[in-house]
Formats: sequence, C-alpha cells, structure tokens
Amino acid sequence: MLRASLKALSRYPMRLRLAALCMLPALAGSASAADPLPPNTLITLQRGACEKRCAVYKVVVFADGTVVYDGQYYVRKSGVVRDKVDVGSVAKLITEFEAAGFFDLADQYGYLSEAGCTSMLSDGPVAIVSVVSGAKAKSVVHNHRCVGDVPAQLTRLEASIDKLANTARWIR
Amino acid sequence: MKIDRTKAIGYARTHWNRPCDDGVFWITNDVINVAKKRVELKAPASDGWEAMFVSGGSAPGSDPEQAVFRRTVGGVVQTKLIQGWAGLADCAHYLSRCLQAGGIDVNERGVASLVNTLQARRDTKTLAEKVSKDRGQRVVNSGIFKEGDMIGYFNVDPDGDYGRAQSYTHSTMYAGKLDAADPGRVTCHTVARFPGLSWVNDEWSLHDGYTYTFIHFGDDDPPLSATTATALPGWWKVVYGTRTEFYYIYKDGRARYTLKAPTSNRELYAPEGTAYWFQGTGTITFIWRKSGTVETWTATADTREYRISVNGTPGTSTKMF
Repeated sequence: MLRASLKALSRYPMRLRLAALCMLPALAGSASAADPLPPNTLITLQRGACEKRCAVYKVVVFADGTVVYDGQYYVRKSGVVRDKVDVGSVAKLITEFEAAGFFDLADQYGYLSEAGCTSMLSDGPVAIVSVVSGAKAKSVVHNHRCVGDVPAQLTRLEASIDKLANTARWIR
Repeated sequence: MKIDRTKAIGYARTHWNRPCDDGVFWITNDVINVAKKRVELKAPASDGWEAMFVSGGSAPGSDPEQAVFRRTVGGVVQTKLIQGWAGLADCAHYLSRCLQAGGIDVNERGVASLVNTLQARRDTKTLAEKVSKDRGQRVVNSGIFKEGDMIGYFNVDPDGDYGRAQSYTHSTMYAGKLDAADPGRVTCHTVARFPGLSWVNDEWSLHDGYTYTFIHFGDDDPPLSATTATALPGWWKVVYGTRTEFYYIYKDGRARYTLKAPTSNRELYAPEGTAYWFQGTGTITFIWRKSGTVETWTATADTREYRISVNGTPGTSTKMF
C-alpha cells in the first residue's frame, strides 16, 4: 500500500509530497478488513493556469479522509493546508468515478490532440485528475478549452473532488 | 487632438511582446524595473539579453505567459525568468503607452481607471457598452470602429479573473482585420497579442466570460456635409419590422430614441436609448450604446426620407419636425 501511494505521489512537488507523506503512517494504520476502501486509495486534482486568472492549486484526498491542499496562485489561501473529511464520502466519490467510467477514459482530452472535443474554447485551464484505488489507477489530463460530452463529465468529476475537499473556502 | 492611429499601432507592433520603452512593466500593485532586473539577474543587454513576454510553454498547467530575459547563443535559446504568470498585469500600462505614441495623453495603470478615463474624454465616443460578443461583432463590422480604438472587457464570469465578476478586468486596442472575413484583431499585454503574431488567440473577443465596451476616438471622423447638417437634426419617425420608434437627432452626432410620439420639435421625453451617428457616402450609420445595434440609413431623393436597415431588418425613416 505504502509503495503504491509513494509511487502515485512521486509526480508532485516536494512540499506537497512531504505534506502527504506525513499522512501515510496514519493511512497505513487505518487499513482494516472492514474498511470499504482499498488503503492505497488516493485522489488528486491539479488545476492549472489560464488567461482569465484561474485558481491554480492541487488537492489530494487519502483513503482515511485526509485532505492536503496546496494553493499556488490566484487563490485565497496560498500554501499547504491539511484537513479531514468523512471516509464514507471518499468511498462515495470512488464509486462515482467508477460509475462514470473514469478508469476507462482516454489519457487526455484537448491537450495533445482535439480528439473527444466537439469544439475548442479560446481560454481555459488544464486540470489533471488522478485516482488510485486498489489495483486501479488512472490519470486524465483535461484541457478545459475542450468542449464535449466526456470533458463535461470530467468537469463534473473534478467538481465532485472540489466539493468533497471543500476547496471553495480556500480559492474564492 | 486627433489620434495618430498609424503611430499607435506602430508602437504596438514594436512592443507587443516586450516591456514598454519607459523600461517598466506592471504586476499587481507593483512595478518591475527592467534595468534593475538586468543587474539582479545578470542579464546585460550587451550580452544579448532581451526582455520579452513569452509563452510559459505547452506542458499541462504551464503559465499562459512569463516575463523573461532571452537570448540565442549558437542556435540555443536561453532564458532567465523575471516574472511568472502570477501577478503579471501590464495591459493598461501598455495601452497607455500605445495611446501616448498616437498623441493621446493617457497614463493609467488599472483597467477600470483606463476605461473610465477614456470614456470621460471629449474626443471619445462610447459606441457600445457592455454588449455581447455577437453585438460587438456588429460594431466592429460597422467600419466606424477603427484601428487604435479601444475595447474594455467587463468580466461577467464569477470564476474568471480571480473572481472579479462585474468589473473591467482587461483592455485592448483594436488593430484591424487580417482580411474581409476576419472578425478583427487586437493588441494588448498580459497576455501579449498583436494580429497574426500572437501565440494565443488575438481575435477581439478573446474568450468567453466577458461583455465588451467599444470606445472610439472621434476627432478624425469624416465631417458632416452641409446638407446633412441641415436636414438631419430634429425628430424622425422610424418604422422597421413591427416597431415604431421616434428619434431625436442632434447636430453634434448624438441621437436618442423614444417610443412615445413627440408633438413638437422639442426634445421632451426621457430616452429609451442613446446613439452616435456617422456620415458615410450616401449613408448615415447609427450605433446604439446600450444594445450595440447598428443601423444604416440610405438616402433617397427626398431628404426627409431614408431607407433604413436595423441589424439587417429593413424599414423607413421620415422627418417629423
């Protein structure tokens, strides 16, 4: 479990990795047979910059409900914040991702090609959603300039992560 | 003083992706002195370092723009970062410098103050205010709005521009069309744009989440003919589609309309809307400020009657008083 989580975190900056690593012992201790979530469960959302000065931040949600937010710029709260959410809510979010077929999506929408986009807006941030849960792992790069059914679904999933972590209190 | 549109656009062509010639660029609530940064970052001009605004790259989450010192050595581009995307805010300063090059005395740092200052000037006409993209396109296509005129971008997206909805958050200078079918292009800083040279879209509408205010420098508008100056002022009955309206036309290029019929040649009623009108060859063009409606009157043999087109809907206008 630890190895999987560490691997999943390896793509993030050092300060976010350190903050997240602080959570791993607690995460390991929380694993039990009764736990409905695989203990390596990790949900991350990164939102990038756009011309309209979009909020740039990252948020990581762990299996034990730990939330680590890292606000970069055009946010109300800059830097790393740690919080906790209900574990059941994390499980529900994983269920939502599975139901939406997230693990079967393409790796990118509107980033390296316009496949899956019915049209392209002239401005929009790139969001990267990564989910690890048990044997499943998926990362999707979603350019918000890309307009289409799947991108719209991705937008909803990203919003679900924001809602779970209640990032609105830090970014607006 | 008339704006020298050629000089304003010429300045823009030189500085669209570079700090202005006063040696500074603005970030939120502060100014960056390029000469000081050269010393700090060890990037002397004598070594080929140029201060520029460049794309932050194409990687996911990369900056839309960065201010850098850049040089090319042996075919390899080298850069030193002056300022990342966060905080860059040089549009009003850049446009002030463009306008100064065109002989217009404007010196603003904030977008809202730039728009307000321009609107308050005696030599400008706000053709349309906070109108949609479609309506704005009519204004651009009217031919009245010219290179060197200004556009204010009023943010209506609650998530856009750091959540500053319902305020002016960007400004550009109109720089013309690439061809007849082109929607029209703009020049600005943050992000740097010039028609056909930008690494981002430089069509005037930029992107969604805005309404648009079109500010026209009017001192170089064609003068009125003696016939028009005599015949046009006064009340007119205007009929198009299912609508009947009454226009009071002023000699100085303004017009107002009301839905209530006048009974004498006095301007009596609070207007429903206001416009500026412009004389062309055999035509009069009205642009209505609130709606962005573009209306063309074509002369007939009778100077008291015109054939009209209101956003493409045909009609007639008849002089009343």
